[in-house]
Amino acid sequence: MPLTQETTESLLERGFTRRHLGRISRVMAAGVAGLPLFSEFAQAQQAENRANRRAGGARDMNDPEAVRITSNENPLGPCKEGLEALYKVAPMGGRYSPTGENADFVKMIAELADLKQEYVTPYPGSSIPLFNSACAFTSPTRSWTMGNPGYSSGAPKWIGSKTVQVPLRPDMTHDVEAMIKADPNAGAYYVCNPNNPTGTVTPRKDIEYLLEHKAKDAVVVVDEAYIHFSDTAEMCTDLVAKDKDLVVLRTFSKAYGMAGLRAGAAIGRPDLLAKIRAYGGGGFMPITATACAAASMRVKGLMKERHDINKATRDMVFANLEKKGVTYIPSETNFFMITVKGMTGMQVNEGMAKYKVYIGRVWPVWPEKVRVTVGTMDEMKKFNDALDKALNS
Amino acid sequence: MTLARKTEESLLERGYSRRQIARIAMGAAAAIPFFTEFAQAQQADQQMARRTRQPFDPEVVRISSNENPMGPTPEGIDAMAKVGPLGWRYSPQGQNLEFDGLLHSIENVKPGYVNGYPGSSMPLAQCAPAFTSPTRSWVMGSPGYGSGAGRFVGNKVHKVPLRKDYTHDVEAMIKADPNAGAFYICNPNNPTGTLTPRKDFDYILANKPKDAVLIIDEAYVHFAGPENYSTELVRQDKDVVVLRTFSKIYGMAGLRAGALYGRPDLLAKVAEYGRGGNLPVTATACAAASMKIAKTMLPERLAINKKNRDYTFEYLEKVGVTYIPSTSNFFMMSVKGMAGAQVGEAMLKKKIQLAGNRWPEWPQHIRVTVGTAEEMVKFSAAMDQVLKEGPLNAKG
Repeated sequence: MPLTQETTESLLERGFTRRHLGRISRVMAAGVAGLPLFSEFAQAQQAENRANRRAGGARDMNDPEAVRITSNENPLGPCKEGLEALYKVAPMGGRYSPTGENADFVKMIAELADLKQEYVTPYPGSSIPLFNSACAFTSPTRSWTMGNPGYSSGAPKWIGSKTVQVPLRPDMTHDVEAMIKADPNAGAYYVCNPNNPTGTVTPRKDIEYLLEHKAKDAVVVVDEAYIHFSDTAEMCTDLVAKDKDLVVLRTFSKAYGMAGLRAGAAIGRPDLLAKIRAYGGGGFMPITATACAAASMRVKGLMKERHDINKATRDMVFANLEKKGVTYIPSETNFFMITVKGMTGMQVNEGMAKYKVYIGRVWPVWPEKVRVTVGTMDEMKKFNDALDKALNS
Repeated sequence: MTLARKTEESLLERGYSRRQIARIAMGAAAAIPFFTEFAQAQQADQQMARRTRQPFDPEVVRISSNENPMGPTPEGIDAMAKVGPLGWRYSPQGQNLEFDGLLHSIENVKPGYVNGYPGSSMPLAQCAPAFTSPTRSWVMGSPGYGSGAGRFVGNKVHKVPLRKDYTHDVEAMIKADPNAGAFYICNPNNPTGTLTPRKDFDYILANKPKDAVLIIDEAYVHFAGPENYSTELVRQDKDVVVLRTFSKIYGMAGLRAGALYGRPDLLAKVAEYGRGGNLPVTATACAAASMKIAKTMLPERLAINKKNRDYTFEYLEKVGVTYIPSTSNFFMMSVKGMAGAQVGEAMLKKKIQLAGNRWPEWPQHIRVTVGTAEEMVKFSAAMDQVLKEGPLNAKG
């Protein structure tokens, strides 16, 4: 609790007003559902609800024939070994901690990242530590500085922190020089790597640039939600091992295929993790998620396998897009952005929905583009067909 | 955004200081880790790990955290197995909708009269900022459960001793603060396992301040039987919210599912503090499948618990150990000549893990969870030895 008192003082000293603290309080006990605007799922749902209203209720995501490629989920689902662990632990679900699953999960993440266990805090997904990072490191005077288009602006804006969104470079990397220039005194620099929604990678030297040029007490938050799909992105856990002012967010919702099961982690120097923990919501995942994730981490070659499958499907889609003259951003993740000449992103979304193919959402800064998640090979063939029809209509 | 502003203004109007709002910010959520059964269970595990230098000792009988050793129902386990492969969807096939529908139908409440949560610790903690304030206190029984959030948020908490028959002393609770914001009654009570009769709830409702709320925590009520459910008060649109969890009789402590029943306007006040994120699909699938068979399952599990509890009580009487007659899956006992903490330590040495020393107002007692028949036999055997040997010496 002494830490809590510090945090209280810290919030007030850092310039949060009562209004802001009230907002933080709303979300705090909540975790993600108190962040109705901010998680990937919530944003996908809201976008879908809006689209469905516009369509007069005609869109039905529960239609068994629907292709749902809206929320960056991974249709491969949890791996066989993960499911086995889930089945094995499920009957023990009567225990808060059947056989030390939580400790095992932390041990595995730490091992894979070559870090001490105090450098890992488990969370039921990564939306909570993302929100908490905004609370911990930013304020009305110390901004959350991020790329545009990007992900994560909802949280800092909601709690009332100054939020600075800096356009990506033309090559879709984070423009780190511009980010430092835009606010040399930011509280946090957030880089999603690879980036959501562009699927593009920011090179390691750019992340190091942020570390070298940020204010002394600022923190670099690297969201590696999609990194397992990537070819060229470099993980930043070694920077954490070097005790840098850097926090890495990880989730099991994407490459590990566990979005509904709820598993993730914040990785960082213990004092930084403690600041994040002060905002709650962490330390404990449902044991089905814990066991599944730990077992999945033990499967050698799983991430490579899933990377390859995703790449093959994505390549198939890209080849078709090129054939049809549809521009796309070359992505290293399980989603990509397309531009259809003569149609807005919204119109593309609505056009595809007519054929029961539900794709992702539009970012306000790029109304002409729309994001699409990479589904199964079969689903993406349906996507190609529907796109064809939409282009010709 | 409007809702957020309403919450803040409400907090300010109700007299919260910036400091307090900041504490709420720290969280009911940050508070939760310190006060829940899970947190206590974790601490107990850590204590044991320190003693045994193992993270988990399969030989230890864990009857410390009010878990149900029967675990989830076979139907629930099946449902989890079925939904596991679909766990790549945030919301696979409307599992959450089924869960929500069953929460309503199982207690026969109108639409909007229940919200699902990942457990009941969260909505319990949120009742503190929702219904209390610097001028409107949290009134509860002693020994009891649930003071954590109220204390943490910084509002006054009145702990009113139970009556001699271990029911909640509702006259004294009303007297303790005629202007209370919330009256919290755990029924059956944690840690005594004793019931408070309906007429006492009626008394609170008849004598509380107009806008105060009666919070009835029914975490353990299924062990006492349907005649003790208070959801009828919710159906009658009273100023009552009822907390339910799947962590106890449903055997799903590690899976995370719970609910808050109440009139929609009351639920909305609590929901302002958030809903806890996506419910894990394993939890909602398991809970839904279990609710579907609740008609037979609940009486079965009630009977099994009663049998094991009766066996234990018979044993305690035989060896002259006092206990409080409980209608739940735990009970308090008191050994002559030994403090509760000493009993706990001595039993742990025998690999029987009881609840830690969490009720300082009753140092003589220690709480024991009712485990399986086999576990309670081991409990008895260990108690035999502890009664002979007495407390551990200082060196332990």
